[in-house]
Amino acid sequence: MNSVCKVKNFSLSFVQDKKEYAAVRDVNMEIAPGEIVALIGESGCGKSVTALSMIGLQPENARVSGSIRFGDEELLTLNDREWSFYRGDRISMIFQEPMTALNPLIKVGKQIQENVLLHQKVTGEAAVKQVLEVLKQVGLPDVERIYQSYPHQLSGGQRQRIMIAMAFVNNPDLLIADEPTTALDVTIQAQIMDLMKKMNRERQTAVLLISHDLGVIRDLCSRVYIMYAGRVVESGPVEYVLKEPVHPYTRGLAAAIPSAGRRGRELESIPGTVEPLQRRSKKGCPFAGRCFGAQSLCHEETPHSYSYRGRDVYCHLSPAEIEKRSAERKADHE
Amino acid sequence: MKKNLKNMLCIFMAVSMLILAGCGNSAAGTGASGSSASGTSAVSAGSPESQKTGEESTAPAQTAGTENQGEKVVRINVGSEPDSLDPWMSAATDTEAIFMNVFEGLVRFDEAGSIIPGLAESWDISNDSLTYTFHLRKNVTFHNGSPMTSEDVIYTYENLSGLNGEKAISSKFSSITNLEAPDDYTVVMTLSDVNAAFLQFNKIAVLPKGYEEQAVAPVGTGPFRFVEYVPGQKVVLEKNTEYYDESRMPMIDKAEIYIMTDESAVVTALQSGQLDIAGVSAENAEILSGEFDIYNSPQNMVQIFALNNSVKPFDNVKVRQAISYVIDKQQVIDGVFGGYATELYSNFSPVMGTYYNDQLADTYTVDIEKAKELLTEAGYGDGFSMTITVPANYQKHIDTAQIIVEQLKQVNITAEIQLIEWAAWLEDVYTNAQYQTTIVGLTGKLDPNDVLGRYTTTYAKNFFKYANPAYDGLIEKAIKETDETVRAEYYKECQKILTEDAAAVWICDPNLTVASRKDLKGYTFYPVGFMDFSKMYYED
Amino acid sequence: MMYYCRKAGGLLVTLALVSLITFGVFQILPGNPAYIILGVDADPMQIEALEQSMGLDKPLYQRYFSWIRGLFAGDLGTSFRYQQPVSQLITSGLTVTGSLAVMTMLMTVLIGIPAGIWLAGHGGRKYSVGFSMLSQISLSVPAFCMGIFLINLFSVRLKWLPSIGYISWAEDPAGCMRSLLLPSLSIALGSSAVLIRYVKVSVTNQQKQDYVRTAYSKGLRKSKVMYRHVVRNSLIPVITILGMLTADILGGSIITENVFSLPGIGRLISVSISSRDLPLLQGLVLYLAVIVVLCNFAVDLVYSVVDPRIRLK
Repeated sequence: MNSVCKVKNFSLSFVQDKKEYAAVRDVNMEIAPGEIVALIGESGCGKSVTALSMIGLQPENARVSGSIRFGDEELLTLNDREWSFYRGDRISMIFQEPMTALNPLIKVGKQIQENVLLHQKVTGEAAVKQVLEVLKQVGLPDVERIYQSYPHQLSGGQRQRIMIAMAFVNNPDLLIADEPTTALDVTIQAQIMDLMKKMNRERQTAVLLISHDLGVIRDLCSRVYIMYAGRVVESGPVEYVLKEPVHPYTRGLAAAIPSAGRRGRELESIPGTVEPLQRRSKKGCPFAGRCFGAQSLCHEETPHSYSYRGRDVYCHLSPAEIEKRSAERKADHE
Repeated sequence: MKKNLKNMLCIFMAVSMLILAGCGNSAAGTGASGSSASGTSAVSAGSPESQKTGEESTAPAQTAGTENQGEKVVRINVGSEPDSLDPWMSAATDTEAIFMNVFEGLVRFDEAGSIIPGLAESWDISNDSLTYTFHLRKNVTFHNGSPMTSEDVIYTYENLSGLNGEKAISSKFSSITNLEAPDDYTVVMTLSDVNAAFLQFNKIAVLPKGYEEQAVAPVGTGPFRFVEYVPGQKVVLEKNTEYYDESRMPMIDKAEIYIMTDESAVVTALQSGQLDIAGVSAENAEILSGEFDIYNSPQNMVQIFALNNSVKPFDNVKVRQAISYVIDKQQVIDGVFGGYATELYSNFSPVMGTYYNDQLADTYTVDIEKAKELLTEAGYGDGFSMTITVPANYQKHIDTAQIIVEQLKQVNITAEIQLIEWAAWLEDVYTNAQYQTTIVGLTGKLDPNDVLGRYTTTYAKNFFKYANPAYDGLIEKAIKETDETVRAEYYKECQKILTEDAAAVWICDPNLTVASRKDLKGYTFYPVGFMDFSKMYYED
Repeated sequence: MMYYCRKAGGLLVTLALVSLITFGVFQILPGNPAYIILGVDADPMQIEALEQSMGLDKPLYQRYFSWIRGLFAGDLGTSFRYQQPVSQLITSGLTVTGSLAVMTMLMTVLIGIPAGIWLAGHGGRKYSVGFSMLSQISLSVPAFCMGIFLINLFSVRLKWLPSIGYISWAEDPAGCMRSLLLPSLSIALGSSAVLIRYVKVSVTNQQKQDYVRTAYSKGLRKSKVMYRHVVRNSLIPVITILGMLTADILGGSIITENVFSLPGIGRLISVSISSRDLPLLQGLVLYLAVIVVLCNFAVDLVYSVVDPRIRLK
């Protein structure tokens, strides 16, 4: 496909006390123009740090390899000066914590205006107009007053809208949203998600949404990537992956979502816990320790992906075998 | 925010440039005129006026010869603030040392301490020594222009003695019963008792009648007139061009006396060219001796290790004598004063030559065995412990105390040093005699009665608590004795008694050390503190 | 309004207590001011006369209340030692100490803030160690020691700057700055070392904040991020330190003023204590208390201007 952003064989490891710990192993992703794609996983699976690498803001002690292509350009080799052409203009990012994401001493309107002036050759006045315009678009009332407000005078939801406005004002090709609603009220969450859908539609900006909230993702996104402990384990269109998961991990995830259909039944959970970074092995499937279908091969060799009904699955077992093992396990439990 | 920061940076840079510019300008200014005549200095950095009666403060200029050439200024230091500008109110030695240039009395004194004519060119004393007739000089004017006559002298003595109906200003003149001025230039004083020291009292300032501003703008008859006093900083005097005695006309135009309490600041001020002459300690004199001339002289002070005669065990004369045999004074002179001090054997300094008893040197040469014997006789064969109370602000006395502590160990006396604040010392030791032993310096006086009279039982501040009726009697006789030779004998006898009784241990007379620019001459030492500016001059 | 009233009321109570304690302490301390001023061999008549003029013969409470009464009339009494009005002495002392404070704070800020920012931005190992050592030295060498060293270098050897004395601004601005340059420098070297640390820590903390990440994500380069966003936020906690340093210097650095023979507040304090000059000391104590309160207030005021989150209603 014609992609806005293509991540290929991307790996990232942290250097600590002269030792290297692999946090992301050989990840592949692709985002088409105007698409909303989700990157799902538990805490510690490496999704945030992958997203940060796509805008060049990964931590100082991270060592990256592989490729992240944005259109025709390779992003991983850019220096500080070159990055400044992309950030804020062609790639934007919004973060999880809106309460601390803005400079408390500067009026919010000015902070957005800064973004405009940085990347567009317009006068200050023209920039202000653009800012007011985008503030209206993100659904804020009384935009003149909001422009002149300081962050502490606004609520969390309002601040996240400001962040969204800031991210969209220069019409970027890609927006990376790292758990933008986790810190907000449930009611506000829905509003913010709707807003993002709207902005995506109106401006045709591709969105990479990082989240662990499966409900929100089903609503918003067209495709998903499921990550576990540094590797993508399954990816594909949202209905397929979430309604009919193939990979044992995805199956576990989907089963763990409470829903009306399962009322009255015990909550399912995946036995075991995620391995801490220092103890993960460099080869084999990272899920092997908790997988109901694990064999010795799974610990030795890292699985390649295969296609199955529109999805990419990273497993040594075929879907049929997975199905069989799963049924066996259910029988054991009952 | 960016703009604000930029503005701040601009202001900072502008200010720092101003500062640097300030440094640069002045340095260029003083550097340029280095070849001017030696001995002249500017009044203040960068100001053309020479007369500064201003309220604001000035620091002494740094190098010789800037814009103001031709004015000869002597800059010197003093260790404490003047206590009062009014000479009748003031009693501090440092103040008198300065203001004896401004005020004069009927008599003056010379370098040897002898009384010479002052405002009175001659005097007659009656046979019974109760009537003094002073003949005044005729061409004297006060600094405010009014001529001096007997009226002013009467005014002065009426105030001093209390004969004007108010409280007497000074107890020294309470014996005056009558004052008369038969004409404009004669004054007759009648006393109730004979006092051989009375003449010497008359060095006190004669002030103009009716002038009430002495405490603020002092007016006298001296070779220098008062210009200004800036509290905390300096006193400025200038030459009195109308001075009546041509032979004593000042050879400098101005004297600036800077109040500096810190010794090292004085030394650096000399080295950086901000002072021309200064009193320094012996060690610092060594450092300065290359660049400056160093003058040394005993200062008529008695450094005393006083033993409270009213307190055990010092009430026992044998104990006091024993201690006298232990103390090695030469060690103190070398260790504390670098050798610059004169050993003493009684409460009197050899500076006052006429009255000094020079026969007492061998009374207590160092003899530890003898000391131990005496202590055993007194019942302290095993020694005892005692305290030496030392005022904390005189390092030399503290150092002396430490040496004495070591020396006393030889006879099993353990001495502990107790430091107290000067103000506390004045109250506890000096006024109330609440102490065992102490070390202090007694400043020089002109009249031997002031020096030896301290030991009489009637003297209020006899903090030594020495009580000897025979001694009291001798002092009484000496006061009344008008024959100088006989009087001198009495005082020598007094010294002998004090020494034999070991009333205290008198250690030494420390030298006064003065460092002076090599082209500044004429500094003179007197038996009492006196910065005689009229004798100083610059050599060309 | 109520806020100010309460603050003013607090100040008055503090001042009253402080003056009472000072007064009380002096009654317990041994030492007669008349003796100290006139000296050991003063004529007893003179001593009596002086004691009377100082009012020492009146009972305690009478003296205290007449002082308080004088205060309300704006009269702080007359100094025993200098025989001049206390308010005049404090004012002239304040001129000197105030000028010293201004110059010292200027230097401290000029050295401390840029150095602290630079260090936070370029915290490479080699600079860190060298700088740490330098700042340790500045901090541990007392101001008077630094002063003596500077005098030796600049006054004695190079003869560029005066070692003693004070020239007032009104008379000669350039001379004034020259006479204050060395004393300010000797204090500033120590206080800027303190400031540098605070600034460095503050800036380093701010660099870790989320809004900094947002700024980078907009495409701002490192230097712009520092100067537009980080520095201003970092300086806010530093204001408190500056306030404290200012109050400290205005209190009169006694030793530095002695070493450089500057007739400032510090000198007045040491003289008034050793001469038991009660009226002068009372006045000085009052002055010190007022300075501390004013500095605190000034800090609050600056905060409210600079930080939009804290606005006095």
